Amino acid sequence: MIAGLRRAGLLAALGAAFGLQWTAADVPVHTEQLVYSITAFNGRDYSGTFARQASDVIYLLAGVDSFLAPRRTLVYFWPLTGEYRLDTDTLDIPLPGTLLVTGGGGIRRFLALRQFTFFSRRSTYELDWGVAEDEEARKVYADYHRSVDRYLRAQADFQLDRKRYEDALDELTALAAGIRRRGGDASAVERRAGALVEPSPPQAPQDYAAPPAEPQEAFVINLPPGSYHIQLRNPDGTIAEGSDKRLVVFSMRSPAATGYDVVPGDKWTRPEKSEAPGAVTYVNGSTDLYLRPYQEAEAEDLYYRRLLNNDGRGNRGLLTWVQMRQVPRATIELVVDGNRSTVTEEPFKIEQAAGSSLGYTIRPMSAGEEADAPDLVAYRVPIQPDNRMVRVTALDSTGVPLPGSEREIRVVPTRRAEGLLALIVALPLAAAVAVAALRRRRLSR
Amino acid sequence: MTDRARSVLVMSRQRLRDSLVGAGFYVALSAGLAVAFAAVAGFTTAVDSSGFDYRQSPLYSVLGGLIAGAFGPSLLARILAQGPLAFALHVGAVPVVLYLSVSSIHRFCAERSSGALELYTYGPADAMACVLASIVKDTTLTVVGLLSLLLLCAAAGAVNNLAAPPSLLAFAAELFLGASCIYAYGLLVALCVDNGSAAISLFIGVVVIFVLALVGSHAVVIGRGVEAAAEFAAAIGWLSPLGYWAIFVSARSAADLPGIIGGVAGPLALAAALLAACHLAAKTRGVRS
Amino acid sequence: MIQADALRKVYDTSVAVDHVSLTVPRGRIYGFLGPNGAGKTTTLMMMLGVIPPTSGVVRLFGQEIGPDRMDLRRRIGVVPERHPRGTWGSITVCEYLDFFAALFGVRRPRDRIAALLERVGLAEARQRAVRELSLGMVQKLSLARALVHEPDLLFLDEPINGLDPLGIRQVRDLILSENRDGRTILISSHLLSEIERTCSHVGIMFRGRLIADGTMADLLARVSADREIEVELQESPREIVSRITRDLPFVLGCAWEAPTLRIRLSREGDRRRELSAYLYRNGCVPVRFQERARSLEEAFVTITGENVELLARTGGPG
Repeated sequence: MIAGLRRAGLLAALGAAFGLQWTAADVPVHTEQLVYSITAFNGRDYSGTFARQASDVIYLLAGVDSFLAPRRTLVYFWPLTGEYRLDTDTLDIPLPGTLLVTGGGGIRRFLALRQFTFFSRRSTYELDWGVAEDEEARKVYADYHRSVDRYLRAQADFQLDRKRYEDALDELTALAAGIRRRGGDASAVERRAGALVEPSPPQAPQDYAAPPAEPQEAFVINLPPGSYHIQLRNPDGTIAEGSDKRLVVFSMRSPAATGYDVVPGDKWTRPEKSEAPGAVTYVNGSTDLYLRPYQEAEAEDLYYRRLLNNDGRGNRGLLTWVQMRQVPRATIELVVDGNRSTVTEEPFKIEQAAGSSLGYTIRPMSAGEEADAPDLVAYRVPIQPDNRMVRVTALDSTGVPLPGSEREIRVVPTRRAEGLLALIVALPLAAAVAVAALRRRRLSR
Repeated sequence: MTDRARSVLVMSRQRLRDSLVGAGFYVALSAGLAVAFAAVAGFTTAVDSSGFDYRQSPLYSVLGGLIAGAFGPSLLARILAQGPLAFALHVGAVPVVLYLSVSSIHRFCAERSSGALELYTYGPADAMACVLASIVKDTTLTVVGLLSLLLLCAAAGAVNNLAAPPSLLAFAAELFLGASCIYAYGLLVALCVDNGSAAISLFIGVVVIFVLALVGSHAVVIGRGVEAAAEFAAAIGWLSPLGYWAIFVSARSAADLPGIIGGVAGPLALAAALLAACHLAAKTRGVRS
Repeated sequence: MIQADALRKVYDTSVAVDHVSLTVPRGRIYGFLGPNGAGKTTTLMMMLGVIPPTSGVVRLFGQEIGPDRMDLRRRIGVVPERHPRGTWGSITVCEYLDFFAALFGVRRPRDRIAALLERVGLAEARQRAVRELSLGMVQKLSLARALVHEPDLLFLDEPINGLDPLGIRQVRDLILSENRDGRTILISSHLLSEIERTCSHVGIMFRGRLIADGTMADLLARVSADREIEVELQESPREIVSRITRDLPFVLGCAWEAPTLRIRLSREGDRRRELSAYLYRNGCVPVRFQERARSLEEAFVTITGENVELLARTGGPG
């Protein structure tokens, strides 16, 4: 019995330890580290990531402003998504000091913390990024907030004016109704109602597609391509422990090329990309395609993916296409089975299929819909099932082909003569049989 | 014509004759064509309204998943951008090259252990002439295999409206150069190892190492372990025909002329070095097992 | 035609061939004998340039042989002891000889091949696959291959292995015929009776050394310096043995093994007439009077036996 109790006790202890461990494993371990918050331009917009203490290298694009902000915070690994995260809610201490940058052929600079903000001004394609630093950053931010305040005040005034208008309209309408009930002429009252001016709502600030964020403090990095070393120096001149990093600054390969977003008519929410110049897109010809050309360039895959996410996966020695800005005011030249035509950019509306059937249609916007925002702005390339080949080239506003914009779209026939191919596969075996038979006949003679 | 040249000519003709009279090469060629055909068929069934979606084809979804998982989406995108015919050409060449290399190793070891190799050397031939004859035979049949695959690609392109990229011929040429190096490796192994089974196993091991080196050089860098593998891969890449193939393919897609030249000159130099090593091994080991 | 000077081959610490020197003049048929492991094959391989000697020189046709002397190898035909059968795929007898003829650059090989196949008795099997041939047929084929390019010098290692008596005779006749046509032939064989019938000169290898090298007569003489006469008598006279040894001083020994009288005479002078006369005077009626020929086998055993004793006394080859 004592032995049994002992055994039970041992099992209980093991179970408790296991349970504790299992429970402990549920809670990610938070470790306090010096991390660099990275706000980096990635060719298209600004993206944020961070370099934790175990990460040796930071990757940035050359020739553009990117921002490094050192801080002490908690880092933990989140197993559900398999990534490291920051717990800045619990601890977030921006670190003061200067950043020593050395390397890249004799560069040695001490950088001071500066305030920065970044934003995208609204333009034809919403990709007009800018940065502002120090006083300009504060001014840009303040100007934006003043415009927002003005809008909010105008919105409040509008609400009041709207209320007054509606009240006046209701009053005059009721008055006209009463007069008509009594058999009188309400036209004068109706004229007064018609003369009321309906207040129009204020326009929200349209300047920005991505408004400026509140200015933050960071080190502004804008370096030529090369390998550097960075180190944070505390205000007292000592080296901040854990702040040494290698800095790889890389540039996109030139010349840039032209890529396309390829939006199929039946899956408009899932566009594909055609990145490689001269690439062939194979389709089954069941629907038209809608293209959106953009400027692209190649970058080292490992470097670029780690620019976006410092812990990201990338291929060493491989180039990847990076989408940059959309091509403005282009024309697309089509050659469909030898017949040349051009298409221009159009706005489209997406309409859900009526009734119980699934699907939708894409149609050009009609005359009365100019005020509506389009669901899709693209270049429509008509595709028929019996088309063999459609050649696509994007031309700039002067009619010159954009570099690397040539593409082929080929329709794969649904009825394929695979019997012919199977015959070719069987040919060597037939040859073997024929050779064996011929040899046997020759030797038997 | 020198004695060795005549010996090589006569022996390679004999080996070619034996290969064309037997069934093995035809079966390997059919297998290669079948694999290429499956690659094309798998591609065409996965084409929808917006393009090729590899997840819609069982073959490509397995391959694509493996490649994306091990090497990342960028490499997968690069491979798919080459088009289905380039992929078909490469996968179709594998059975042919493997068959030719393994059968040559087997034959060489059998000839040595049975005394046939010694028999040749009683006459105006030597072990090196046998090696050269084997390589001439294998490279000639590789040309036959590649032409057959190109024929299949041309037919597949015609019936399925698939584009034959201008790089297809260049890929075929690079495959030929890489295959020549693989044959030279096989014969070097056969010269160094007496037993045929052991030689084939060693050869397969060498090929696996080259494949792993290729994997290591392209594997997504996620940690120090994989970085070490990439360093190892870079070190032996100079000895690997697959390494030069990768250089050539990358250089072609990037229009990098020095890279293209390196991708062509590399296997030529490697093949020459391997033949020199074969000559040394033949002199050292002799013709008797 | 063949000249080997102080050939030596050492593997690690064992001496396979120890200072072997021999000369085979043009037009000879030279027999190369020795027990297993004597070093015959190693010596042969060094003569053919297949194995490099540790020291020593081999000259064929007056020129030093080496792995790159293909010009000399064109003039040699070799029948190895072990003939590969299974590595030829589906090649036929005719195609096999065609291949080797092409290798040697033989012009108009078809006539030559047809004639050779007739001579070796393989004409009926010309379209049969080599891998289907019997051991004897393969041996004949090997001989035909060695002759297809009309070499000046033939090396034959166990050429009649696996042959039936008819095949042996065919090969023997072929060898002798080729020799009459001017070919120098070196034969290595265990079958001493065939060597005896075919070769004019013989060399005996033993434990890496060439312990005997000379004409057949010279070797046979080494068996014994004496003559042995066998006389078969109708009936034995009384005390004939003691009377012969007493009365005939040139008789070295005599023994009676009914019905044969074995008499040993000195080789000095020919006393057979005196002996014959004596026997007649003493009432013997010889049914048969014959000198017993020594065999190569006896010579071989005697010579190698002498060498075993010598090695035992001297402690082995140095």
